[in-house]
Amino acid sequence: MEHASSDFAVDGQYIVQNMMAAELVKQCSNITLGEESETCNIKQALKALRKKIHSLDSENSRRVHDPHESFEYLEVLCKIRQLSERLRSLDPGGEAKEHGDLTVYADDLFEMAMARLEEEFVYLLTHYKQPLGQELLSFRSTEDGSTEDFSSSSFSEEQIEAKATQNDVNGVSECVVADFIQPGALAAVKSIAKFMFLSGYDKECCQDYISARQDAIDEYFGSVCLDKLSIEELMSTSWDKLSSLIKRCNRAMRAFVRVYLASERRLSSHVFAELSDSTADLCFYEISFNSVMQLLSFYQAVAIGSSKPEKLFRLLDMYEVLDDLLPEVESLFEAGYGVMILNEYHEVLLQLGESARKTFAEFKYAIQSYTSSNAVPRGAVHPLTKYVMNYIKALTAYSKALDSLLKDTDRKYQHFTSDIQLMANSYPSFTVTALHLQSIASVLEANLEAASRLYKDDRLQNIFMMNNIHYMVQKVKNSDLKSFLGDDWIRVHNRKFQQQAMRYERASWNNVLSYLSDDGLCAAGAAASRKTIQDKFKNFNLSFEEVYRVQTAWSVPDDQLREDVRISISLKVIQAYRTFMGRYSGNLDGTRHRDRYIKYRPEDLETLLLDLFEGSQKSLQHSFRV
Amino acid sequence: MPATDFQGSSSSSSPFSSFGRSLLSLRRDAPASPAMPLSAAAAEEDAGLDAFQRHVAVLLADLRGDGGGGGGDGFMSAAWIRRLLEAYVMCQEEFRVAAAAAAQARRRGGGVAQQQAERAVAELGERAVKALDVCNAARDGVDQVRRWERLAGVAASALLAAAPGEVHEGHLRRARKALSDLAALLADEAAAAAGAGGACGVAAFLASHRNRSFGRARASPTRGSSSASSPTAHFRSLSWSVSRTWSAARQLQAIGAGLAPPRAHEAAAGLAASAYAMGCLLHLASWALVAAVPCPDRGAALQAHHLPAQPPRAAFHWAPPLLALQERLAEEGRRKDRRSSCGLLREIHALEKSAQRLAEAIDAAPVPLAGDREAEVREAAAELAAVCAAMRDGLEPLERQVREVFHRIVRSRMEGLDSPALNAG
Repeated sequence: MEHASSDFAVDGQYIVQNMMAAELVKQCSNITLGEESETCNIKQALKALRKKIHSLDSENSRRVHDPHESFEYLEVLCKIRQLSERLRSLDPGGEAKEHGDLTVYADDLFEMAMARLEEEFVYLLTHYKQPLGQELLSFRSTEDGSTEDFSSSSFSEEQIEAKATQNDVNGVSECVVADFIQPGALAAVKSIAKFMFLSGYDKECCQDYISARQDAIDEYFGSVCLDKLSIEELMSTSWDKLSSLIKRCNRAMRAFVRVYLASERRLSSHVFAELSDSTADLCFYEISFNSVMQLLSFYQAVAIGSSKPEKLFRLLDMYEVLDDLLPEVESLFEAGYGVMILNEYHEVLLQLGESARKTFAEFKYAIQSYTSSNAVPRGAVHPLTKYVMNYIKALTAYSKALDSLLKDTDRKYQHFTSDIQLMANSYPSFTVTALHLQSIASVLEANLEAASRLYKDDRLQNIFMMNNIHYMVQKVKNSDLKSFLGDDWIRVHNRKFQQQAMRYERASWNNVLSYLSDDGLCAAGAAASRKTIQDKFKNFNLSFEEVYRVQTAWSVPDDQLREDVRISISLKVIQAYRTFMGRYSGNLDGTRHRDRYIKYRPEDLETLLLDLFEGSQKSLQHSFRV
Repeated sequence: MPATDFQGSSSSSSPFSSFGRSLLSLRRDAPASPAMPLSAAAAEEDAGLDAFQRHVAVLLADLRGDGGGGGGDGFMSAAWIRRLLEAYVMCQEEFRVAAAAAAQARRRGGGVAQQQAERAVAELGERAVKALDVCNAARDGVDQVRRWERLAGVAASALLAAAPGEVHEGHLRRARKALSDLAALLADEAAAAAGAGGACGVAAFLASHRNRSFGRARASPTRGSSSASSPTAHFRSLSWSVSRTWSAARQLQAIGAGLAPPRAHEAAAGLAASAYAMGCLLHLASWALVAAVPCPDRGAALQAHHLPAQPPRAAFHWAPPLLALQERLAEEGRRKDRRSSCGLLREIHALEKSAQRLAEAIDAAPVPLAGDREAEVREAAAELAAVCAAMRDGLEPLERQVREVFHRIVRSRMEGLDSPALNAG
């Protein structure tokens, strides 16, 4: 007797129970006198137990009660079962009818007590459940930062949010498993589940358990404020709203799989694993199925939405979240029942990947087919350059996901064309992502070449190309992009913008400098050469002023580059001017209007050169008019 | 992960294996085609599209002739709906191939005709996306039905566990409790479906039952004994994976909106007509799903207000069988005993009936139970157990098929998203 009831005693802490068991032993030991009187005693005992149930019931149904009181139900049930077994072992003798009635009475009493026990089970599951602690829901407060988001496809975004923060949940998520049932009540829940199973109430037990836990999951979803939106609604949601929903959903998904489901799984195992693994699996599956499907449906809806370039980052975020969680999901649903969830999960991952690939291809195509109708004013950096470079810079954070997504596609999909294949052959050391980024950079360059042809002035064309390629090089050098595009790329492009600078210089200044040459001065006589010298100064002044007027309007936004270009000009021009002046200014001594010809001192020119490329047009002619 | 089997190898073989006929044999069987003006160049392509239309017709006619087979294959049984969905998947696959071929042609030739065809395909895509939510709602519905089945199974097994001649008050009480929990769920559902009118019929009967079953009101939060109003309703509204305001009737309306036969003189009548056939088939499949299992605003969906304009019988091979099925579905929804039920799915009806029969048998049973009475109770329990088993067998493949339709739509949508960049190759 002791032994049987000890099945349900946990840690000997339930003194009440043990006391009652002891009492029962006493009662039973008193009824060994004779079978007749034993039947009678059993009847008495059963009636007492019936009363006990009623009193337990009326007490417990009216108030919140302690989990250890649940053991009293178990205690009563154990006794009923023992008595009923004892009864069956007795020889009914001449009292068959009475014996039979008593057996039925015992059985009915047992069923009644079982019904109460079942309610007690539900009571424990609902009353002693614990929601996930607030600290585990921390993703609610950190979400929806006001970061910029490629929200405009106007190619004008300068600063772009890199990766949506993905590690904020990791901090709490690793290995955190919560207790969904207060530890004090868990023992009782387990014991009752075991008793229900052993008494053939396994279906009821699972049903009650599943219902209670499904309620809990719904409450959880209510508390994290994830609105249920149908796919159609999601597809017509504005991008800004959708983007913030995605961030929220990603956080929810991580917390849900890593913390919530892991805890749910552990609870199922706690309660049922001793009985049968498959029951624990089945219950867990039934409980979580709907909510997992629901979350996946959100991901699916985003995947089938339009493939606007700005979506790529969120798609990759989503892909990474699901890909990251895959091992966990696989271990949660490894058993037979979970196959459907796993299939769905893989399918969504596949579609997200496909959607990301398409969006990426779409992005490249958008650059390719983007045509500027007007030249960028002042030869400055094209908004497209900024957009694309910031975009691919942000993409480097996703290189792992991109590598796996882009790897097999080149062979399979036409939309990644042969240039990648060619590049792969010549640069076997680069990753697929790197090759794609290089390809995008060269598409951008080609587009810029085309845009530069909109300038009528070749020199401005050079400035434009110089500015833009310099911008690209700077972006690459100062970010992770350098490891994707490589040193060679940087070298080549450094040279490219320097060449543009040289071409500009030649086209702009060779003419100006030509007036400072000695040609025709040595041979001629003093009078002739004075005239020539006057002309030369005059022409130099005019051409310098013209360059000044035009090029002060141009722009070299980068301070360093502007500085470099000016230094290079000043090295050539000021040097030549100083020399020319030193050699010939003496010849003009005493001539009328000497200062008309020698309008500028070298220092003046040096100062004037500082006005170039500031983007605001200035003119010298009215103040120094001859 | 690598996108290897993008065309979906997962269960694509199943729909094809269940329909053994090839396109060629279908062409032979089908009635003579109503004449359509064809340009010589497009003749070959249109012949293929014509075959497609015939195929749709044959599949629908197949679904119509459910009477003889009996068994689980009857109209609106889980197996039947599954076949309807399989038919949709099959046709969709054929249509996809045809549309791809047409897109190829467009790239070669172009022209107004192809633009019209393109538009028809795109419109169909939009309709199909609307059906995704129907699939999700139906998945929830199936989940709900599975819950009913579990409770019914508890009731049946409680009685069948007792040895013959040993069914006592305790067993009856146990069964009654499960039935009353079931009744609570069914009553909620029926009330939701019937709108403000409240539950009637089976659910009402069972609901009245639950109050007697336990004879006491306990503060415990057992679902069955809680009132049908707030807590349960709250739970239910949360369990739908579509949003709160989602309505099956409205969704059907949207799927069928603007669904009209292409004008015969349109040059691209071939592909447009196929897209039209697909649209009608999609609407029918969605309607059947929504009508079969519990889902939001199902009551309104039972009425045929959302039906698109009737396809002209003479112009399309598939119009007569489609209209016949629509008619039958509408009729079924109008039937008094079904209107208040929790789903037109045959298995649901059987579950309701058997549960009611068992509840009545238990009610009528005197205590102690003996002889005929006990046999009756046991028989009713056995019947309910069989119904549950059949339901389990039917729901699982149906659920998988619903997902298959979902994935097919998604995949074809993904293909359709190809931009000019991707088509240019």
